[in-house]
Amino acid sequence: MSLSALKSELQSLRERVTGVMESAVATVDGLVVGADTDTVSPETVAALSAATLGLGKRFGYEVGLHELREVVIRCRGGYIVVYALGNIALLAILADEGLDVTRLHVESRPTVERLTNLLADERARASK
Amino acid sequence: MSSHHLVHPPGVESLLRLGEPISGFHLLRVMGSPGGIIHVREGLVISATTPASPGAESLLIRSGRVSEAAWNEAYTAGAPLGRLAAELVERGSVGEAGLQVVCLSAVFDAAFAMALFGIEDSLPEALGPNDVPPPLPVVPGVPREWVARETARRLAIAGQWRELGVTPFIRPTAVQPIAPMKIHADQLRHDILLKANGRRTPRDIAFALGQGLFVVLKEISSLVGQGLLTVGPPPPPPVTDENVVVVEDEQGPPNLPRRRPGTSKIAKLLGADLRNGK
Repeated sequence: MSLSALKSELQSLRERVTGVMESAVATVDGLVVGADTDTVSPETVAALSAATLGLGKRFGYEVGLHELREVVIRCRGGYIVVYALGNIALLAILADEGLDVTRLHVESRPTVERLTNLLADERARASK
Repeated sequence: MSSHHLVHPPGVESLLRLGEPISGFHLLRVMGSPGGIIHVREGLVISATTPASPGAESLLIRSGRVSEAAWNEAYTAGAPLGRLAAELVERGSVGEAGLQVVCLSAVFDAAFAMALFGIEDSLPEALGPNDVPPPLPVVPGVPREWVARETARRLAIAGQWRELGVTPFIRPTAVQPIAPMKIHADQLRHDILLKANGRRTPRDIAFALGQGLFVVLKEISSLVGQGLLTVGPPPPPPVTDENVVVVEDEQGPPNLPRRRPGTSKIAKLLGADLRNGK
């Protein structure tokens, strides 16, 4: 896998969106693929994000709100946002309380698409 | 200083729509990167918020001036009625004058931050009785001309910092390991040095410390001037594969990390428990 391409995507998102501090890409069962982290443990973020994403999806279906868009958690010190990357992986973003959540949703779409393609390409290449 | 001799930078004019009468209750949606929102009541600025600088809530809580518990209690009791500020004061969390100083400095800091990062335009939107007012307004508000004048003054000072290479986009790094603080007055400088790890911009440091962007930029300039901070690009983080657990497995998604049976040691633990139970 082109880990440098993945990391540049994460760094570019951090530079484009004011408030984004750290991020990680993980598999849906909680293993780290790559991370742009500073103070947090990528393994912890990966494991908890996988649980969060699963819970969010399940909750949406149980209460009839259908497909999950993303999970947004707001805490005193900032936000945790988890996006699905296809059905094999996820993108977790940690941001401070200054984050403009709407802007993040707009700016992260292309990143989510490129990361999903990166992972899909890697699967296709490796299975040849 | 006389305002007559100050020509406002073009961004500041459009930021506050100077010269236009704004009656009633309006918000100015500031277009820019990252832009922000300014609330104006009867022509006076009562609040300004932007992702580029910490708001009054961050300044109060992150800096430790108001505890999380006190904030929560005051918010629950006061916010639905639009009297969060009154609750904070009545509960003794913060003095009335102190609270107004924080709200006022958050307004000036936000206006400066929006102008510093760049403004394209600002659009006024009329607000009605059903719109949620800003939680911590400046009472009764600040004349727009006053905000413009202070913003222009701060931008002029920031222009001098730029000569040192200090801009809002730098990611400064402490030159040497941080020594223990000598005197209490050094607290902010010490905290900035601790946060300056080559990843955070001045804005990120301001949020992390619950301090205004202007104050943080001022200290960063001083630290750069003394050679304690460097603004050069930090060495790129080493791209290694250490975070990736690559397990080639023909049955699963190739080259993505896969769980190995037995990694969690749960079977071993359960086995041990079973044996102990015998």
